[in-house]
Amino acid sequence: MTKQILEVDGLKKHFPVGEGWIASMMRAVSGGDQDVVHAVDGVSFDLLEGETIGLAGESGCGKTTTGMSLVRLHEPTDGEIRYRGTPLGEMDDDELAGFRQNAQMIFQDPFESLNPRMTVYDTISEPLRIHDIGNETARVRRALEFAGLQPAEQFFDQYPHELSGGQRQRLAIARVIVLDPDFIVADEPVSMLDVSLRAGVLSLLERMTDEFGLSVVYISHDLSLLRHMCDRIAIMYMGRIVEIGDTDDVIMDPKHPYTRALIDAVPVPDPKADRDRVTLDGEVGNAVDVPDGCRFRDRCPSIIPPEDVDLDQEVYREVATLQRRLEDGTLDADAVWEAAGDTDRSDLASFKRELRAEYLTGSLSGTNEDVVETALQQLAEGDEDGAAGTLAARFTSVCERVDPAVERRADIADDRRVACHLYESDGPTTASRRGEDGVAADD
Amino acid sequence: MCAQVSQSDGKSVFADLEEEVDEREEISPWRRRLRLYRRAFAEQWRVLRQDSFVVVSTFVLAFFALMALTAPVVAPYGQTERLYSDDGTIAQWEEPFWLGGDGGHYLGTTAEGYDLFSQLLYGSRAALLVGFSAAIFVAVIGTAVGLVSGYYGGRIDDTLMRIVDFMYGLPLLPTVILLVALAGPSLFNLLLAIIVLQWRTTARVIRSQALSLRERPFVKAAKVAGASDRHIIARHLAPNVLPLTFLYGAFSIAWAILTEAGVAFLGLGDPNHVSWGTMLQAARSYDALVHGAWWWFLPPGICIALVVISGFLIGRGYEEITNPELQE
Repeated sequence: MTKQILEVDGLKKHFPVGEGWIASMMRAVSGGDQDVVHAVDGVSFDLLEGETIGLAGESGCGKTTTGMSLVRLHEPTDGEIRYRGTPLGEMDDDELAGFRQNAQMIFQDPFESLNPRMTVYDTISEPLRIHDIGNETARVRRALEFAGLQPAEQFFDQYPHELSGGQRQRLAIARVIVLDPDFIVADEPVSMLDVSLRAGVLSLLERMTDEFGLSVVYISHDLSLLRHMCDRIAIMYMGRIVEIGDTDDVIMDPKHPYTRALIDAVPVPDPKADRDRVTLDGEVGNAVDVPDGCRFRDRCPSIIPPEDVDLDQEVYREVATLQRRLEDGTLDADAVWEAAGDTDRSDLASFKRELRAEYLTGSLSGTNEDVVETALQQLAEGDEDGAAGTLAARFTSVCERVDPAVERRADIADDRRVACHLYESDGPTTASRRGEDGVAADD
Repeated sequence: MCAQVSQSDGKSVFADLEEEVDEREEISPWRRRLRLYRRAFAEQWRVLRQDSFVVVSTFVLAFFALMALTAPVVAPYGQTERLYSDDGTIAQWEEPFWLGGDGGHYLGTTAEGYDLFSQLLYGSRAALLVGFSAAIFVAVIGTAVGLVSGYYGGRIDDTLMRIVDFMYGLPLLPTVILLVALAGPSLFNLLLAIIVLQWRTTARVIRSQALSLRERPFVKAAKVAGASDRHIIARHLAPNVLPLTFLYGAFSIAWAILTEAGVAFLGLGDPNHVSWGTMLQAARSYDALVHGAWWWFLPPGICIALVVISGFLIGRGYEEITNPELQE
């Protein structure tokens, strides 16, 4: 059971941002690139035969787009998906028909994924007719019974609106298994169902996976569900996989700061439970204008200071936030002047005091203090770019400069890949990085 | 028989089904389909029946349809058969017999000596022929163009919609008059003109529906199952826009009849067939109003109004099916 059924290699899917025709003409004249949403931006993983893998992440991290690309509902912008060794993009008609028969998808919303004007029988027999598979009635009956819609005949002439939510999702599952596939993408298969129905549908999915020897990609934001269903788990953030490994390893001992935050966000049904939570600030970043370096750095609780900057993590994050706000122009100097009670901008000292009160609550000393003071002075004099440059020269993190690769890390024993500078790269070319919070070994 | 070979190590629960095909077990697709259609029809009729306007309108249309079919049998005279009185003169301007007119004509005669009752009966043929043929063609063409345009999008959509835009630039009556004037006044040319000018609205509406339908997950599910574009349009999009197609078909019955009557009234009707519009036109040109011969122009006017109102009312009743929010 080690054969790869699916290899995903550097999958990218970018969607053009809608623009008016005037903007599009201006762009044609000026020769600029069109803005794109980087929905999926370089995802690679293998799916072995009979394996279940979970894709997890926040809304908008690209997990559904990845899933849809796997069954060829999207053409990848770049990269390749190989099914049993054949790239999806290069399949001829016969190969594609075979792929369509063997790769299926279960959708999130059972109310939307069934044609309201087709009966149960028509819905299930449709794939059989498309692929010209005989023995229709017997197969339809078998599929319905397997999915727990019994007695099957009673459902034949019913329309989806006559079924309950759980029955509909069972119907959607029956439609998928009637073709006897070997690979399924399940996109949030139970998230639209009542909690009381979930267990039943999940056990049906498990039974299906076992009896059909299926390889399944589960897409969900629900880590406890994925933990229950999957052999391996991949955590996605902004179109990238940040950590992928065996489910138990990843859940019990998350390495990437984002994974840790996700797992800490899973509620525990014990109000007294004493937990050391990592919570995230802010929202998922801008998928149109993606940052250089690590995509998670703006929200990362463990961002790495440069080697000679000896600062507490909290203080460092404050400085980094200030620097970022200066760089992307979201620092509102006018508001600070107003708060300082000096609108004609003469009292530089009170401006700096106000700025420190708002952004820099921790204590700084030595070179760090000098650099920050210089930057604040520049800012008070109205030189925002200069201030940003001053801060950048001293405080720019490796997370900001270098995009971490998803790779095996020398200081993580198990077989997992993590995209974070906190860990020692396995690659021969990467220089040593300093870990700061004790998770990473320091050499 | 089935040629599918399971690739997952024979673990399929369908494995034993490859061999035996029990013909008795197979459900006859035709009988099934017929049963489902009957059920859907009964269901829609049940909804329609709740609206008494729709029931009355249906009977009115059925009455006129019967009238059109039986016109040659029921009509006492031919539609352009000149009648003479006993003294050999043309029997013109006869009053209906129940107003004391001679010759026992139900609705009197025209200035040219034609029997008005017979003309009224024959006139229903032109109206219904134009109404229903136009409705069918408008619905079919509009739906086909709308579905293709909405489903494929992109350049195909642009091309088809620019044609529709162009059609929208044509004013209805002047264009019909021009076409009929160029191609000659016949019922067929009139019908053609009406169809050419009517499919645009249906195409627009169906396109917008297709645009939203093609993004629905059940279309994606069909794609994943390997369905071709044609299959998706025919099996997934078309059935879901069918109620709208009917709705616009019902409305175009009324529009087509009105247009035919209007064009005939302007004197561009088919000279070989009497229609309610040509009756009105004759009444106007012989100043029936001045002569107080209301039995000449009132019956065809009422007939046109009844058929058109019935078409609209049925369309309105059908809206309840297309738009379930209107149902109580």
